[in-house]
Amino acid sequence: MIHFNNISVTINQREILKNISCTIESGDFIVIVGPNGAGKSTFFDMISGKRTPTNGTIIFNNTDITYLDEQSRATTISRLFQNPQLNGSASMTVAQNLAMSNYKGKPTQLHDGMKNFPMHVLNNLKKLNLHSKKILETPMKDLSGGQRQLLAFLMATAVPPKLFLLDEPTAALDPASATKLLQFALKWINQHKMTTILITHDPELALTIGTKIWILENGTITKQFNKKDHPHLSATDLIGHIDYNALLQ
Amino acid sequence: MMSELLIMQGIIERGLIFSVCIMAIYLTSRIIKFDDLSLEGSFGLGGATMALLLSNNAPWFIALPLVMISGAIAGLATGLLHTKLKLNNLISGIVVTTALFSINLKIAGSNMVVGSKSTIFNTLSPDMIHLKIIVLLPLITLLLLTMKWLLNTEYGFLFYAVGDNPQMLTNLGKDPHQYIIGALMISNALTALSGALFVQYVGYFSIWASVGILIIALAGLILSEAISPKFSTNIIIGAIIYQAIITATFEFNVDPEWNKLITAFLIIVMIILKQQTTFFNRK
Repeated sequence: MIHFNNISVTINQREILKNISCTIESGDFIVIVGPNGAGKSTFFDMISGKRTPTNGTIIFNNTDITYLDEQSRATTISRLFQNPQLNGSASMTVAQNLAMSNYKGKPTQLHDGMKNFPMHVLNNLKKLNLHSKKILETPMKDLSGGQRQLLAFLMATAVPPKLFLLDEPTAALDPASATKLLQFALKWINQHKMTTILITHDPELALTIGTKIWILENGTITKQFNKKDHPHLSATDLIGHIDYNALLQ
Repeated sequence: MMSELLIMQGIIERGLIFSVCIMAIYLTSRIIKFDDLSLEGSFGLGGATMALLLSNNAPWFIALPLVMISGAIAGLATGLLHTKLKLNNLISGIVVTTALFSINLKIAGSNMVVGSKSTIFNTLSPDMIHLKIIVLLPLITLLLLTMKWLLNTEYGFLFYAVGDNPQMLTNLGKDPHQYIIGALMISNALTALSGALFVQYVGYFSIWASVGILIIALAGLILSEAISPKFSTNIIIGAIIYQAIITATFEFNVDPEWNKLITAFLIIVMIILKQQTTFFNRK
């Protein structure tokens, strides 16, 4: 579905991604783990079009999209950011934000902004207990971080993409909210057989969900595991572990 | 009693004219969150263009759309400087306002009298012409309703969104720069319209009339927000209250040269009061 051929990204004369070649097949659910500064977010920036590769090509369904900008890719590639503030309009209400999520890929119209509210998300709002009139009329900024990320998920998927990028979506959430978001997201991804890439720092999470694990270190993909072939992978196999003995010295 | 009514009428009329500037500053400062200083130049541009067209015997109904187009071009210039040349928004606005000062001088000189020409107020019969409010009230009400409608459309929603989070527009496959430029064009067109109405109202163009317009609009905006933060009739009421305060200073025989200083103090006091109330509300 999407091939990366010898991709490099250099920022301020520093090579962040180094000669990456890999393929994402339709229906894959890839979990990317790696230490801080490995280039995980730059990898997503490159896929979403925020950054153009310095070298290499990106082929999406036989079309070269290397130089296609972020907004042109947005209709096929959707991204959920770690920072809830990047996922919606803080001063607008939940209902208005949801309505806007349905503008994706359509020319902007001079009619009521609420006219094309995505009615199909109502069911999911009910499941997440976010369907009350009070919540729908609340500005996004007044919601909890967990509620904001759940709504951001609904917004990112209101018009289903071909490739879904989840950039540490639970990093800013408490465990209960993170569990709720992941539970819902996994169900939706499986139901829609959505091709997904998730970035996480949490090796346990990588072992629990997804079909493939990629390790990104120092700007390159150093290991790729197909989980079916490696049923006994451990967190230490992925990115090492905290050296507790060193802490006691 | 008669003179008091006339004073009141003048306050409302000037308030109506300046409320158009407040609509513009609301769109830039509060919605797309772009503090656009080019509004000051656009007010003068609207006045100068109107004066030039009227003195060349252009009918007002042809002149007004041309005035709005001239303002929109000024907004386009500010938007392009910011989005394409990556100038800071304040610098983009200052550069355009400075350039417009020269352009306005070239268009209409430092003064141009249009009193004898047929203006929008000549639609009134000669015995009613002193009641300019009859023209202004429906015109400004229509403008306010049109802007309210626009802000409720998909375009309006995206204007709010680009002010909050430009990344959201990119997520939706829209170009945030287009919406920033679009809103700047609308706000500068409105300001130019306000300048053109002012020239017709007072009967002459003066290059100095536009100096300090931004601060007048800001004072009106803050007063209107004390009533409600929404884009609604509070904008017109805020503009009228501001005019009433300035007129009251005349009643107390304050030298009009102190007007701008009074306005500056008014803004400071209003902002402090707003901070205090927010502080107490939070407590």
